[in-house]
Amino acid sequence: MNATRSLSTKLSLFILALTSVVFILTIGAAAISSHILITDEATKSLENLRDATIKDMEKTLQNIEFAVEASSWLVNENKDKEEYLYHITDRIVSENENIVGSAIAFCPGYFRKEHWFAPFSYVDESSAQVKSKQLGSEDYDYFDMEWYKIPAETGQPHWSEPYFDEGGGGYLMCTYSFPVYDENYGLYAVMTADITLKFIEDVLESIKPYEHSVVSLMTRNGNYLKTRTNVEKYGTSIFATLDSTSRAKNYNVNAVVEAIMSGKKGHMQYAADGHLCFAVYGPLSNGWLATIATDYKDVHERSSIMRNLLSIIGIFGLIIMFLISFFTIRKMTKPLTQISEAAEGIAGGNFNMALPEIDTDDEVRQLRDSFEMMQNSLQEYIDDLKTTTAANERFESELSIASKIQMSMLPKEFPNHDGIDLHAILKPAREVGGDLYDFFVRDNCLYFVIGDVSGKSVPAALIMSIARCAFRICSHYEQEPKYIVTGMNRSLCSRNDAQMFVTFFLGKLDLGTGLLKYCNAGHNPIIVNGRYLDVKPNLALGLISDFTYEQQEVQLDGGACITLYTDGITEAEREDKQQFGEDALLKCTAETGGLSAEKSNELIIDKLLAFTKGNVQNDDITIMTIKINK
Amino acid sequence: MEVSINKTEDKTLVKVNGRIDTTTAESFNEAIAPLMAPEAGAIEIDCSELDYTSSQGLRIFLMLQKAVSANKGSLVLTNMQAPVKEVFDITGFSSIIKII
Repeated sequence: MNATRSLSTKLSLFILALTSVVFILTIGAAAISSHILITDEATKSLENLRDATIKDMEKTLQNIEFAVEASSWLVNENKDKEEYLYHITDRIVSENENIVGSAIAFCPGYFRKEHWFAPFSYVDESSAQVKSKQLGSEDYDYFDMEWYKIPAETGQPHWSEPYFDEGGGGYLMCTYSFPVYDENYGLYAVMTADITLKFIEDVLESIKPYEHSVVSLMTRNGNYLKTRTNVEKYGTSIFATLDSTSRAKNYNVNAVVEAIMSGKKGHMQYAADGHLCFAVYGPLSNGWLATIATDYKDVHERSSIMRNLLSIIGIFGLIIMFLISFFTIRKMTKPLTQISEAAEGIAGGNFNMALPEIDTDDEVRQLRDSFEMMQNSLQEYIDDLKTTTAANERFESELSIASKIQMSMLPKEFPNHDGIDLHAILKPAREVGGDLYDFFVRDNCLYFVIGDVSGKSVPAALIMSIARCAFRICSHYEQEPKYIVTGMNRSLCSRNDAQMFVTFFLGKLDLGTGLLKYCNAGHNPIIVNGRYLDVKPNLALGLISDFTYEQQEVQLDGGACITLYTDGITEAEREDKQQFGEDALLKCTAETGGLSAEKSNELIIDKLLAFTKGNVQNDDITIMTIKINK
Repeated sequence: MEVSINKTEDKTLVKVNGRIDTTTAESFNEAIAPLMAPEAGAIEIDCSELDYTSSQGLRIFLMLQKAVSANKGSLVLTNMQAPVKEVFDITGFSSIIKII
């Protein structure tokens, strides 16, 4: 369950991370491009606005200039008619609402030899009536004033710097001056029209592209003709503004002032008091300079609104996407959890765990089907295994019983006879084997046999028991070894379709005389006193039914030691296939002098095991030792 | 254990290499099974490379001998190593199988 949860979480987080990166990049790109786009558009629209403002302002100023210039010929015609001159100025002021004052300032001594003569009409502030008066006097020596002096010297029309004219209309104003010449091209007067900066302010105030925009107009010397704030008073200079801004937070301010003052059109970024600003600027035809300064914050408010909106939508989208992908993946991986639980159940031995039903045709379905197949195969396999195990267990228990039966055929009680000491050991290679030994004492004679059935295990064990029974039956009726062996051979030859055979040795020791009569049937010769006895092989039992077995005899003395064995001893192999061999066996028997028969057998078996070093026993092992007491 | 069988015009030459024991007896039996057929004729088994035979091996030789006798053919084992020959002698097989 935890694994699946973490899988869906992991996958969802991975998708979320990936999508977030894409989203952030997209937002970033959109923000940058919209920023650029909005900046460009703002620049263009501000430039258009600047051009329109300049045009508008120029038109207004030209109307004023035209009003003055158009009246100049009237002055020329009536330059000696004092009353008419007043009429001219009065008309200029009353017919042009933007003109608050107008004067015809004659050159010294030109009008009726008067030093000062300047008819002047103006709008009286208190009555709002147009009034007239003569301007020039010792107190008001206009010849040194800019509005008179510069056009008089240059002979060109001139817009003055803003000034507060106390002798005039009492307004902070700007004056347009126009030099008037007589027929001899001699300057005789300067005509003027005054406008208040209040008027310019009203015009510029109506232009408001952005909330914090500042639209300003300056003379070519940098004096403000209009300013929006009250902090910067009428007539202050752009340079004064420059000094008042905190330099630490400024950037490009000197450059933008320089650019504005150059009298060319353009736009530029700058920072003032920590605000990133943007200025578009350009000159009017009369040399005045228009500037629209805008705080970037205003311009990009719109793009930041868009960016914020995109971010909010994106974040909501990401959250929804995360939830959807989390639950979808969890739903898709839910069968995995169930399969995993089923696997745990199967691991615990429950093969009937239910698997989830899956409607989709995908890898999970394939996994489920494969898992079901595995479940079924496991079930079958376990069933088979149970059957096989049961069969094996039955077989093993049967073999174990067979082993007990076979071992019980072999005499366990060794004869407690004064004349002899007899002991035998039989170790089958498997549970049951084909070796046999037997002995009994009858009529003061010891009958003893050893035999080895070809092959091993169950088939050999069956023949072994037949051979053992045949010996007991035949020896019951016959006394001579050769007859017993011949009888056994006939018995074993009949119905021996499997061609099994038995090598067999039978000895009959007269315990009174020490005479040993013996008959061999293809078995290994026996050892007497550490030497091989001369033994005719004859033929193993079970091969040829009418074979004639020959009997031999030897006289043994007290203290003689007889050793019988099967080839499981001499052919016992080490790991390197080296066999124990007859010589080693002879050597062992030579070392058993003085030992009891049992100890002798144990010594030989110990030596044999030391030789094979635990290598698997391939064949049944039997050893029998008989010691004739002195 | 390896068995090679070469048929010539007048006899079948067989060569047995290695050991005949519990693990190889069955394959030895299968290898020489064709020799038990009536048309096998005279069989000569070269035992110079036969290193060992267990009683199971003897049994197979015996079965071969019986089959050959029944088919009125002949069987002879040649060049037998001493330890192997000893097994044949001890069990009396030398008296029923011809060894030269």
